[in-house]
Amino acid sequence: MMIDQELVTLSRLQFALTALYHFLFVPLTLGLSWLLAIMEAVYVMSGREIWKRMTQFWGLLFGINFAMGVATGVTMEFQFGTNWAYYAHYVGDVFGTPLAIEGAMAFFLEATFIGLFFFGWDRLGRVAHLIVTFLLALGTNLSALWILIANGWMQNPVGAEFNLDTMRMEVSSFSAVLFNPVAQSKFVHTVSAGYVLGSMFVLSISAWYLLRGRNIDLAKRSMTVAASFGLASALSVVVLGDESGYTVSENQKMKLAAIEAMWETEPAPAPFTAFGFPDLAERKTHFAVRIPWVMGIIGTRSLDGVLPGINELVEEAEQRIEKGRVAYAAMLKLRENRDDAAARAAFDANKADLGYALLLRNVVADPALASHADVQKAAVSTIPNVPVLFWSFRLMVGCGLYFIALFAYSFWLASRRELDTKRWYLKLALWSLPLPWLAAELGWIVAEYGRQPWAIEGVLPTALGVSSITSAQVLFSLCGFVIFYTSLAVIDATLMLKYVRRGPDGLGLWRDGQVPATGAAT
Amino acid sequence: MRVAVSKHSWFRTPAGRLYYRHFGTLLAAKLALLLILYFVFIAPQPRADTSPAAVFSALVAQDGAVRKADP
Repeated sequence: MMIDQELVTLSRLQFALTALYHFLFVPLTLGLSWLLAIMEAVYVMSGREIWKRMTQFWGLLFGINFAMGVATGVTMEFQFGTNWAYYAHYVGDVFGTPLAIEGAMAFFLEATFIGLFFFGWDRLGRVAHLIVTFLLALGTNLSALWILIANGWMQNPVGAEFNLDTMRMEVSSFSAVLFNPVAQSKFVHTVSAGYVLGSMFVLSISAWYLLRGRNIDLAKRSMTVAASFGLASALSVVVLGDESGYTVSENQKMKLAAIEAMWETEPAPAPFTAFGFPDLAERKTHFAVRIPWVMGIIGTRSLDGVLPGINELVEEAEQRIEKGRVAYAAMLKLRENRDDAAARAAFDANKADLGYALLLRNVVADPALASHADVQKAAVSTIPNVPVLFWSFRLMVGCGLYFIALFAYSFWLASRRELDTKRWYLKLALWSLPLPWLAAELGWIVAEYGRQPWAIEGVLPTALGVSSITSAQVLFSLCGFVIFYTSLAVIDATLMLKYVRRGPDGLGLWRDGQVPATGAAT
Repeated sequence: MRVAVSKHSWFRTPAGRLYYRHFGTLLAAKLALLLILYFVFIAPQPRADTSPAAVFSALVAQDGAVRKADP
């Protein structure tokens, strides 16, 4: 029986929409939580009331975002059960562990301390409340850590072995899963991107207040914090993104080649294609503008390291499919007779490529009967959508460089106390608000679309992870998800805009020129 | 203009209480939507068979493969 590709596409679409929606909220939680901690730390150190009110105001927006974002990711776990049952079974032993730890540890920490953050202003001392805010920020970031450990394992499945009896991957070294270099580099890159987004959120909304001549005291201080934290974070994103790219060059060579639209293996050090129009059918890049050496140096951190091109990697995939077929045949024999020593030896020698043989299931019903043409077709299927990856990556990097420039300029203006003197700058800061979200979503598209055709790199093709259900059933639940998320998006946008428009002055939190009853300077 | 700041939290003011109501309503609405999503769209779906035998047959697709697979 052939795989129902419509079912696979709908299941992927549903998961992608859910994940992209969920990640609209996550980075703001990641970034804003640390900005709250910084603002409150200034309040505790200086005793100035305005910093407390700043923390409370941005905390209100943090609360709305948190309430909307939390548990939008739970629906992805629904989908592991409904649409990705074979995936859940095949790799659940490994993949489920960090997810469970995230729920039990980080999420509980986060949920507990957000309650104390809101309800503790009157009940806790200054330092105790500051510790709560720091723990809230830590909880959100730990949450991201465990999720990215799970995701990192999908990109680089270390510390696990295939068990022939249970037909699933099982953990062989939890420390290898935990300290997976791909997961670690993805974690720091992702949270840094969240810090940039949080900083842009504060910068843009503060710029809007300055443009309207409202909340000047609070907005200027907020922009100063956002500019400083944003500049450090934007620089970190680029440096840590480079590290993330380097780990990709180690274990996901096809993804890297696709991002670069590098069809042929170039002599070292390979050039970086800054611009061009990749053509999947002709396997060439039209109007390519190449910068010598750059890709080789970034990708291998050497002048003589070679990065394989797409065509070479397809040939390599062919060889791995053939080896995988040996493991596949041995697996079938072992299912018949567990004592077949020859089959056991063949399986053990080739099991690393078993996943490649499973790629044939997209081409023929029975991989054992695949022709050479079928093997070639399966090998070609390892090429992801090059044009999408090529442009997503460049747009993301372009946004990242723009953020450095904007935050550096903001920092310079803040240091000269000129944040409110240039209207064009304030307008630029305001209209830059959506860009970090765009960059973050593009980053996920590069990471996950670039992983295709694999659900687990080199282990499980995406198409084999789907449940034995019908396309109509997935379409039905997809409709439910669209209704659910559209309703949430409307509520979220309405509430967020309402509180931003009212602002600290409209909410009675702080007015320009206000001084506390104690007479302390603000 | 010098305006005294109350010693009590802003969250005890009418605006603060309204925020709490919005926050609570948001969580309740979300919980309700999640329950609807689960019970209407997710729970009625058939449970996939993920026994080792079922996973094996999903991977190899057909029984015939067992006999024919010997490259």
